[in-house]
Amino acid sequence: MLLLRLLQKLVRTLNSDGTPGQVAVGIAMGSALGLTPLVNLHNVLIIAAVFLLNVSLPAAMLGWILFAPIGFLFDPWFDALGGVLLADTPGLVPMWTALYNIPVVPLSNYNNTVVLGSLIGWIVLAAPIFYLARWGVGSYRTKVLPRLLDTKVFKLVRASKLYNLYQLFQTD
Amino acid sequence: MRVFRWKAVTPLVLLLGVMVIGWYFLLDSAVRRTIEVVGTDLLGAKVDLAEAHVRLADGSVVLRGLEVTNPDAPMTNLVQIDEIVAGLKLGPLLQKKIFIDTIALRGVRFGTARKTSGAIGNPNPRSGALRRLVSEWASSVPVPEFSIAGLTGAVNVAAIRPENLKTPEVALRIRTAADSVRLSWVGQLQSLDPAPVIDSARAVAQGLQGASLRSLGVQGVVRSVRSVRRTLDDVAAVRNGIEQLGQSIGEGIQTLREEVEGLERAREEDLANARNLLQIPSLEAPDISPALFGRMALARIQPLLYWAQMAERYIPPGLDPRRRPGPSRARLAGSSVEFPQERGYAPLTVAFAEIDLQLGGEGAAGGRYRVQIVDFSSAPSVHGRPMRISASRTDAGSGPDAVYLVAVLDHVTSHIRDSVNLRIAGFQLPSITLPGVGVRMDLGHGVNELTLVRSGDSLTGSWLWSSSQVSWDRGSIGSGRVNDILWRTLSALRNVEVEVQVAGNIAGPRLAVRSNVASAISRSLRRELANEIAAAEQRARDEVERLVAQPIADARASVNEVAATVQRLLTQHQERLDEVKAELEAMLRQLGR
Repeated sequence: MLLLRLLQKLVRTLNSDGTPGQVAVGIAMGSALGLTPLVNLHNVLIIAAVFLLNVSLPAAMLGWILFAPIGFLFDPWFDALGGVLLADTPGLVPMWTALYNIPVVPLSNYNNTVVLGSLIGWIVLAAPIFYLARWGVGSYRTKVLPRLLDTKVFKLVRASKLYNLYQLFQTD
Repeated sequence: MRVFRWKAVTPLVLLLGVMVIGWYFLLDSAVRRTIEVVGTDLLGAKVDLAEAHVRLADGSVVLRGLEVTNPDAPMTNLVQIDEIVAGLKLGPLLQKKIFIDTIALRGVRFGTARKTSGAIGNPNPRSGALRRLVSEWASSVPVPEFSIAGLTGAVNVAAIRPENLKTPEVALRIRTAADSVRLSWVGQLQSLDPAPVIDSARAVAQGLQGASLRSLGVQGVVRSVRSVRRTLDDVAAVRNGIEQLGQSIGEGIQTLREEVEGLERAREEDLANARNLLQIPSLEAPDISPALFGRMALARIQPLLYWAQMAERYIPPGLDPRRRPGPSRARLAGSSVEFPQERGYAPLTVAFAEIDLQLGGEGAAGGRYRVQIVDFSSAPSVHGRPMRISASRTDAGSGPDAVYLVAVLDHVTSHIRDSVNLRIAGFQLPSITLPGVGVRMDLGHGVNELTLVRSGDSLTGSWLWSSSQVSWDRGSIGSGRVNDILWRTLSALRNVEVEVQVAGNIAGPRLAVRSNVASAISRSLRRELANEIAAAEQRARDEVERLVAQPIADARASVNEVAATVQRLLTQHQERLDEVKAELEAMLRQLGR
């Protein structure tokens, strides 16, 4: 039931809810949850921002779901990147040392190679993800959705009992 | 369009509230689980904790029922602690660092039995690595055998065989080398054969036989002189070549002769090996002590080395960033890098710890001890003060009269300085079965004194057991004259001292063992069995001589023969060249008249 509602929200988000910009920001922010190890302080801030800022919540969920496998896949590279930044760049050591001794900052686990590497990775990828998602949602709404609504298969589905069942769980 | 979604504030705050409350209630089990997982991972055997209570409001942590499995004996606990009460400073927790003002450990017991096995299926390959290193060192330390079998039975020299001896093999190698260099040198001498030059010189000399200024004219004389000088130069060049070869041959022969002399050393080694093969024991006290107490010394020194190296690994000096394995999680663990800073907080600091230690149940060592640890820090360079450990006995019906332990672990600078001084008087010392003898020695109550100093990578120290109440049991010693002598000697000893000395590099120090038991055995056996030992040694010597004399003589003869052959050829060549040179010089003088 919960899954069905989530699916409905995702479909509605893609189809009509919010501007493509809001959906794209949601996906970009949700991708942080997927790309970086979840239980970390920066993700608490991301979740708070997703709730507080007027961005699409279902899109953030979609971003999380889409990017979690990519995060697992990219872990070796994140580990290597974090290792280079934390351990193999002597010029950065004074900054890391200062951060390590500031209250609360060490709780962010920034000194873990995978956390830092993935966070940097997400920061670098956030803008491309945003632009790609905005373009994708815009194109989908203007080009793909009207054609989809016009297909015989879709009309058949809308006329079916399955669709009635789907509508039964509509929240509004 | 609005940027903020204000209506989300309340649910978000509620969500955070639920998370905080959940975290608060789950903190105890999270701490318990973390201690179990991290401890098990580090040790390579199960670490169990019955309860953990964390009260952040008053900064206290109480752990109950900690059991740490002995990795080498999974049904036994290395240590069991009934209760640990710690007082924390809250400020450093915000920096993810633990600063314990005071910690009290009550009911600490060692070697207690476990209800279930503490072995784990797939231990982390890192865990136990140090233990393995120390074990490898221990197995690399040679401990001689002490066997009296060679003195009790007939000496069977059949055990000494040529294939067990080094000398014949070395002698054969020298002979082969001599043959090989002889061929090479003769070949080189043949390639420097002076015959063509000599023939050419003789032809020049014969051509000018009877020639004079008058018969040749001035120009003819000048041409002839030039021709003779050229020939003389050719003769000199060949002679130089032969001289150089002679020099090189001389050096080669010298090397061969040195190798022949080295056969004497091989013969001595063979003799020592033959004594081992025949099990004729060395009766020197410095050889007997390691044979009797070497294994015991190793068994007791191993844990010290292990803990000294553990201290270095987990309490490293300096302020360099430290890379440690990251936390276990579904995602890749990676590494976590610590960045210590002077005058900051170390990841773990215990300002003052008091440990109520219980040892040995009802035995002499049994009783309660109070151990105090001051200024423990996982990053001593950050903390800035060395760790000090002291211990004393607080309660005992019987057992040690005095226990005194002071240890200082100074890892503040990169030059590590650790020292341990332990003295226990009136303590029940161990019972030992003397290897190779079979007699059991019960040291009774005595003094146990340990001094260990580490400075940088070098380690020096000694461990002394002394007792004046030693009792002896025949154990598995057999009958016979030698065994009777040993038993009489040992059973008369009332005072025993065993001292193990350690020196060298921390990774693999040298051990030396000294004991008056060995001196007594040595004196007694020498006095009573001097003739038998001398006879056995003479038989071994004769047999070795019989087997090595001929190979040594053959090798020596081979080298002498090579030297003579090449020397003869060299001399022949040089003499012929000198002869023709003299003829040419006479010709020059004749032309000049």
